[in-house]
Amino acid sequence: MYTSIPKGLTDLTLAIEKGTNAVISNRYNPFYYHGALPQFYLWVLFLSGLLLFAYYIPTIDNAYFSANLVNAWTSVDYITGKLPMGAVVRGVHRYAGDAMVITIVLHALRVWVTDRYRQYRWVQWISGIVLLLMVLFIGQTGYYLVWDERSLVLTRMTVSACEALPIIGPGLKAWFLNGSAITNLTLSNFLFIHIGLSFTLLFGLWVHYVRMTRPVITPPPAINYMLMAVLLLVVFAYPITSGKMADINSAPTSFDIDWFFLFPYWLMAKVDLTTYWVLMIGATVGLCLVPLPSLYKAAAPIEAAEVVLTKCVGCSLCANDCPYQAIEMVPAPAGSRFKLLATVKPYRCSGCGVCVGACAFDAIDLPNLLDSDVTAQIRAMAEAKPN
Amino acid sequence: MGKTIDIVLVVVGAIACLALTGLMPWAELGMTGAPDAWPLWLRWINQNLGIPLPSYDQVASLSTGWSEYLKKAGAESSFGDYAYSLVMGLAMVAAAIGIAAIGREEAEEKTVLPVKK
Amino acid sequence: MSEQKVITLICERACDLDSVCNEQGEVKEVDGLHVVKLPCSGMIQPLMIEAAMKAGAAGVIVTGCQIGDCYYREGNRMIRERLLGQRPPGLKKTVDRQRVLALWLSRPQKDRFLSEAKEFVAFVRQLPAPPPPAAKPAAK
Ligand code: HEM
Ligand code: SF4
Ligand code: SF4
Repeated sequence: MYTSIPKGLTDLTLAIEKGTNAVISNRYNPFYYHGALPQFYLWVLFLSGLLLFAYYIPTIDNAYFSANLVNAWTSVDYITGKLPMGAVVRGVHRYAGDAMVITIVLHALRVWVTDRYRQYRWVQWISGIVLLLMVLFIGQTGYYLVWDERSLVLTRMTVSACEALPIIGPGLKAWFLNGSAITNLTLSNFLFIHIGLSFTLLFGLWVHYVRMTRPVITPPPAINYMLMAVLLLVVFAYPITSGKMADINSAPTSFDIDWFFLFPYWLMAKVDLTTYWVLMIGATVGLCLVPLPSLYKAAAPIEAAEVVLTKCVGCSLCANDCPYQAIEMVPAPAGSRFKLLATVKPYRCSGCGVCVGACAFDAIDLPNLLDSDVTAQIRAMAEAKPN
Repeated sequence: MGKTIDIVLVVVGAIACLALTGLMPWAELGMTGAPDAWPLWLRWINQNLGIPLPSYDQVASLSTGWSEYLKKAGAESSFGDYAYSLVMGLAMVAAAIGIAAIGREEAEEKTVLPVKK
Repeated sequence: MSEQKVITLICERACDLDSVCNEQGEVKEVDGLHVVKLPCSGMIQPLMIEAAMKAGAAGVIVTGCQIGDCYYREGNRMIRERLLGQRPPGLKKTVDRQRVLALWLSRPQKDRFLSEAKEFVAFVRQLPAPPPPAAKPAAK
């Protein structure tokens, strides 16, 4: 097993996890909640985002002569400088985004290193990549929303990147700007994308989870406290500073990079746009191809569990316990003494045998390892005379 | 041996958590315990019912240090809010350590089945 | 009596015993400690444990990965709950609970396994009145 992954990496991971267990035990080992960590930060983002949303104004009005200028930038400035705890909430929102990206990457790395990414798990892998892309784009729109000089540069860079695409380019640009130029409507569009996509994440997560029974999405309280505490400490250590208000008539060129979200813009500044798109699309497709069967050496093909039709009494125990939602209870054929019959969906089955352990009637079997053979082997071992 | 460490951790975690929580009002008032920084209703209670307001003289020096750090780090105002975030973060770390020290006992690498009579 | 067998039912991804077993799946350091590998500890049926006892084994060690780290997500939790009687199907009442031990050890933890197993093997072998090594139970 683990054959397709560099052995050193797997050993290192196992050693780290063993060390972690020694200190805080398997119950609090964050590696064992790898999927739940980004999920926790998502809830934090929803809540802090809701608070920011209450004071955010999505316009770009730039009338410097007006004393009571109200636009996106001033509303963010108000949140940061005047609103009680506004700076903290804004900091939590920003850093929870970064933390989410970090934890997603750790999660993806762990499922890869521990060989949990392929075969019947491809739906999770592909939907995970889509989720990651969505999270990145949501984060980027967040940076547009602030409407400081960086936002302006990022918006313009995105527009030129859109324009570089053949056929869909102009349409994409019009969609992105919500018109042909940067206007108030552009910022409402950004806000719409930012929030709309965030809720769409929930749909993406449903796809991500649909093949897993009881996905682990809530870490234990002690881990939650730590996750939240990290945010609060970073909020103090690195207070968020606002850039200058954007002025459409100016052309700012440099800006600070948030490496977790804005690395594509760093790339965009380095290479020409065609190369940029080739690299970005190539990287995405490449990630999606990682679970391709020809890229790993499968030890043995998975053989799906099989139900012995004459023995199954329809008790549903196997369907409750199957960790991959691979067993469906269907109405038993006419003439059966029982109401239900277990049926295995072979494309979902991992060949783990948990259903075999769940069945008290010997009615479900792994074709390549019959439980009757296992039992016979156990008996033979127990009875063998000492040599 | 593990047991004693756990008990120590729980006690230390709990005390640290409480102490840091006690700093939260101070931070919220803008890192000052000055009497007129308190909200009116608390001052009213203090004056009319004689319930004393806590004193934060001992931590007064933190205020200047932290404000200076925040200023250098680029924050412009609401230093008290940032301080609140810091003490709350530390309190949560302390709580997490305490909780994990208790909960760690329940984790198992070995399950011995209960013998039924 | 000291030669009574002890059977280990182990997940092939839990602690790695290959280096300490001979070809027949017997732990070299402990006489009479046999290892049966399964794809997941969740595949272990309580019936298998009963079968081992009926065939005269002194005890059974169930071994899965660290709780929380099951490769198939939940298998070790399932068998743990079954052993504790919290999830059907459970062990029959007649099975002597002292003769079953469950260990949850990750891949690099074979030393922990060996020390626990030695202790357990010695313990079950000195238990009084082992279940009478029943004749082969009637074919099922
Ligand atoms: C929004 C981001 C994401 C969240 C909140 C998330 C959450 C989760 C959760 C809760 C699980 C269930 C873990 C369990 O109960 O065993 C899971 C499984 C999985 N995730 Fe993600 N995930 C995210 C992104 C990704 C990404 C980017 C990838 C990889 C490219 C990925 C790949 C997988 C795979 C392959 C599994 C199945 C693991 C297994 O069967 O044991 N996920 N994810
Ligand atoms: S546990 Fe066995 S008897 Fe019950 S539904 Fe599943 S296959 Fe049928
Ligand atoms: S072997 Fe059984 S429990 Fe495991 S995934 Fe397949 S049907 Fe589900």
